[in-house]
Amino acid sequence: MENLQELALDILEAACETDEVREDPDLDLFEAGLIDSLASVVVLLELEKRTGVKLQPTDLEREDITTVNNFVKFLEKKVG
Amino acid sequence: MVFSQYGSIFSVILFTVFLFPAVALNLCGKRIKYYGMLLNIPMLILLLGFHSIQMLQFVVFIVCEFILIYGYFFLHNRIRGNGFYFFVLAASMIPIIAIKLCVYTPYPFNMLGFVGVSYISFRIWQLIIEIHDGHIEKLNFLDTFYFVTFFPTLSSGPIDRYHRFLADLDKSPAKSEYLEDCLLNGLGRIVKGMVYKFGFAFIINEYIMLRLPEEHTVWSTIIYMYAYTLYLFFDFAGYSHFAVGTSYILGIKAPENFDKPFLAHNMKEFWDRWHMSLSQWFGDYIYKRFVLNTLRKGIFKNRKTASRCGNMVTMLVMGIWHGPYLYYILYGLYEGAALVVTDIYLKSKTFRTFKKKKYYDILSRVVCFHVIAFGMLLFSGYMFSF
Repeated sequence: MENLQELALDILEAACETDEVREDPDLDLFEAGLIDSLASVVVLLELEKRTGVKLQPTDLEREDITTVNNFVKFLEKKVG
Repeated sequence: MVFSQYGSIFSVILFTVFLFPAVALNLCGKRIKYYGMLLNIPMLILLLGFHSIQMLQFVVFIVCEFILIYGYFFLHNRIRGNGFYFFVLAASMIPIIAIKLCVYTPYPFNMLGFVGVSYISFRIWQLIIEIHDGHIEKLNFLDTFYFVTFFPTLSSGPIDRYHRFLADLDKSPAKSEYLEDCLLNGLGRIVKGMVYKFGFAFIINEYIMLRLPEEHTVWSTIIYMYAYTLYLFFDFAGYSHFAVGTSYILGIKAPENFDKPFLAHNMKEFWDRWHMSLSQWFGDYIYKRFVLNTLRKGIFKNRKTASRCGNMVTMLVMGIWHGPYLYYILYGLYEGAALVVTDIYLKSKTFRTFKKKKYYDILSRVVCFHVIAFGMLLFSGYMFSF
């Protein structure tokens, strides 16, 4: 669980190119302007690089990366 | 007699009256699903005609595409490699390419085409791609047919997603939930659509656009640009209100198409607010896949370059999809370039300082509106018709 939390933060930090994602796990990343469609693709690439899980863009819904907590839940389903 | 979908107050009322049995069914605690499927048939006949060339093309098209979809569904696991996938995708695109290009052929071949072929194709391609991605394990014929030919959104969307549609289809909302969420909301949307399309759009067209002098001057072009931008919004958002409202009453919560587009601060935000179901479709199935695959294969080393090329490719495809005319290609290039410039702007220091200014909201909205309006002017073809 803790590992997934760290993995989620690492991936989102790489995708959003800022450590602001670490501040609040319930922050709406879209509203905060930290994440966009390019970042959502980078999330997939980073996930693939770190875990070997190869996904398609439609596997990752907007809600899955809206907050850090949502992304942790997504990782639990796909990786955990 | 063939009806243009939501083209007149009479056709909207007629289409709405046919929804009453759906309301009655829900209130009696029964499912709407099968009534919707049954209603779809006469509605398709109203939209396409019965003994018409349009209907004939529609039937041939649907039969061929369903053979492709089912053929691919049963065989995709047995055939390795992506060759078969690309073959099926290419084959499914033949009708739409033929229909778009037939404008250059002599009569009667240039009459090829039928209502909704573009939007039906979006749903078909989505099915093929989702089968390829392994997202579809079961393909129920009636459900899939209803999804592909769902009449409320037949002619111009919104473009729904397969799994979302099926989830709504199998839901049977409780009476109180249905009354508030689906019926009242749906009827409200239909009324709103009337005001938008037969009120605002009609007035702009009748009293501004049609009264412009035949000869195009700088002034007439400027007036046309503003008028057409507003006209297109009210006409299309009006249509979308009808389509979404009708879907809701049938228990299908079709996705939204518009979210106050002229309040956008930049072009990236604009596409999150304008014709959203189409831009999300292009985002998921073209832009993101282009960026993902080019970065995966190392064609681009830099994610920004991949994204900007993705923007250009996506918008160019979107432009050409409207038709094989020069002004649509220019429109696509313009919108692609606008996105690239927006991306550079959003990542600049200037933007970060500008964002904190008091006049940021109003100034960026005014500038963005003009970038939008010039795009619409290109799209209208007004500058290319003399």
